Amino acid sequence: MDETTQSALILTVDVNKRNLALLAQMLHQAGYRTLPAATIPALDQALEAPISLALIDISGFGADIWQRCQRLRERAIPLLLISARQSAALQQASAAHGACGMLVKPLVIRELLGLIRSLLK
Amino acid sequence: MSTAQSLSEQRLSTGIPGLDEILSGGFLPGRAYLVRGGPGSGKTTLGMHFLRAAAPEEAPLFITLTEPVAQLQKNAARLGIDMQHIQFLDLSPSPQFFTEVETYDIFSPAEVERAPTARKITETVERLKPQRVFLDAMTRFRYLASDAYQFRQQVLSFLHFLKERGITLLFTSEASPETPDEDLQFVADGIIHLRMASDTRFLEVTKFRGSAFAGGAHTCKLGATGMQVFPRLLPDVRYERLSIEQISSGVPELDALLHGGIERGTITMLCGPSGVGKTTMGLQFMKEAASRGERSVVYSFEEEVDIILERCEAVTIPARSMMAAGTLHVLKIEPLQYTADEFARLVRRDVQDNGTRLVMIDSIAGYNLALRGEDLEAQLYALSKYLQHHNVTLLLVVESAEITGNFRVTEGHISYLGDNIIFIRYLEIHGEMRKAIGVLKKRLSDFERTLRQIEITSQGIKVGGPLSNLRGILSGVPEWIPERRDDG
Repeated sequence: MDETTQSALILTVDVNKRNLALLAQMLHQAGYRTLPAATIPALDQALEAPISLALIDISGFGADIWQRCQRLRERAIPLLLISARQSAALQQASAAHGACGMLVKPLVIRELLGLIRSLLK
Repeated sequence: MSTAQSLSEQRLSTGIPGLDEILSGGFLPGRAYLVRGGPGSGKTTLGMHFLRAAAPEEAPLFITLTEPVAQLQKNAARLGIDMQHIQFLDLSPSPQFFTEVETYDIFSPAEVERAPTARKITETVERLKPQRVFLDAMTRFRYLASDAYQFRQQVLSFLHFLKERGITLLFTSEASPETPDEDLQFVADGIIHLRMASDTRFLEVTKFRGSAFAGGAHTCKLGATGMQVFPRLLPDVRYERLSIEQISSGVPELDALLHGGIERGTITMLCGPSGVGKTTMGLQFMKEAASRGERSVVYSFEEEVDIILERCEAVTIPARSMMAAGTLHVLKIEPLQYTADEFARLVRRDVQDNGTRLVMIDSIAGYNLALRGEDLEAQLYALSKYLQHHNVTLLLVVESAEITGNFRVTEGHISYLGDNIIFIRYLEIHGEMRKAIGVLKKRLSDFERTLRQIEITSQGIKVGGPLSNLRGILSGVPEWIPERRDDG
């Protein structure tokens, strides 16, 4: 692992703590640092940190999540959205708010890591 | 003998004597065996027996993916299975799995849980170094594999992992038409099927690599002491008759009719209508056997023990004192109490353990009605052959349907079973009802071709001289033949 991946800090957002723990475990194994947030206030606080990439599972959040996506876009931080289902409307909304992509659960670990690596280049 | 012993030393007892017998001694060490069957068929119980049969230094290990350990231990205790030396690895879902609101959904279980589960198993196996492992149920791993190919690869690699360590594995499968388990059947070194048909449980072995086994469906029982298996009796091939010894009935006229008595180790059918004295006749042979110090057993399918004893006493057969002396045992077989396999095992056990020399089955019709299972007649044939090969004399009581009139020896097709056929029947002579005894068949010696009158009195069985001046005896309506005839 090179220097850039060692230092990359990834923001993980999920209302489900088990999901957050699994994401953290998987990202740590791949050599990334993580910054977890399970609520909107925690997310607002986390947005202050020097984030390299954001992974946001939108299930469980309301429309106010889009505003935070907007702020990540303003700071030019790559953003991947995760959703429980495939939906054209969600796809459109996520693109409109600056997401690089929309992933549908369950995620395949190898594919997710590949995507993160390419976004961090 | 020594080769047989060295062979059996390489076997691992399954913990169930009947199953060991079916498997020619037990499992082969270092192999993986599959036990499959529907819910409640006794898979887990069989596994408990298998682990309990291990010596403590074998460090038996129970890996459970379904039932929690506490529940398993409770069930084992209820069955009287001592699980003290058995180690557990509990991979069953915890109650929190349900109550916890947050179960993950971000990755598939196959991705998240396979690695930790595999690690837990390998760690436990490396740490405890078990020689016997029971895994319940292997099919649970199916949900940890992304596809059928992955599942099969994982199972194979798991089996190799255990095999490398010389571990004998017994694993179960929860198969249903929706999720068949053929893949597991292919990789297993042996397969034990447990099934239930109407009210009878069956165990069947269909694969056993590197060894012979007893095929066919054997009955088994799940009871208060766990699982019992009753191997189906197959007629043996070896057969040595040492010498022909005749056993007397104790009634000189009857012996004369039989040209000396019946031969030891033969099958004798006692035929006749209801109430004619077939059972008493059989017990007369047993009375004589008792005077030689031999043990006899009556398996009564119809009459209660007390009634039989009472009737014996009434005709000077001292059945009660014979029972007290151990030379007679009368056992009532209740309807549907046993399967034919179980009954055969009961008879064999008694012959082996108590050296019984004379067995009476009273009657064939009762046997057919009272026992559960399939192929009753074939099983009776096998049992008869077993007794014959162990030089045990068998008396089969056969009731004929008609009390008078045209004569038929046996119902069904079982008359081929008998080496000897003795019949007692009612006759009308001079307008009086009498009873006559005769012999229809005797394989090993000649016999008298005439009938003799027989009476069962309070002084015992009385047999008269030959009734040579009768004709049409077998029809039941005999006629006197004039004393002097011209045509001989």
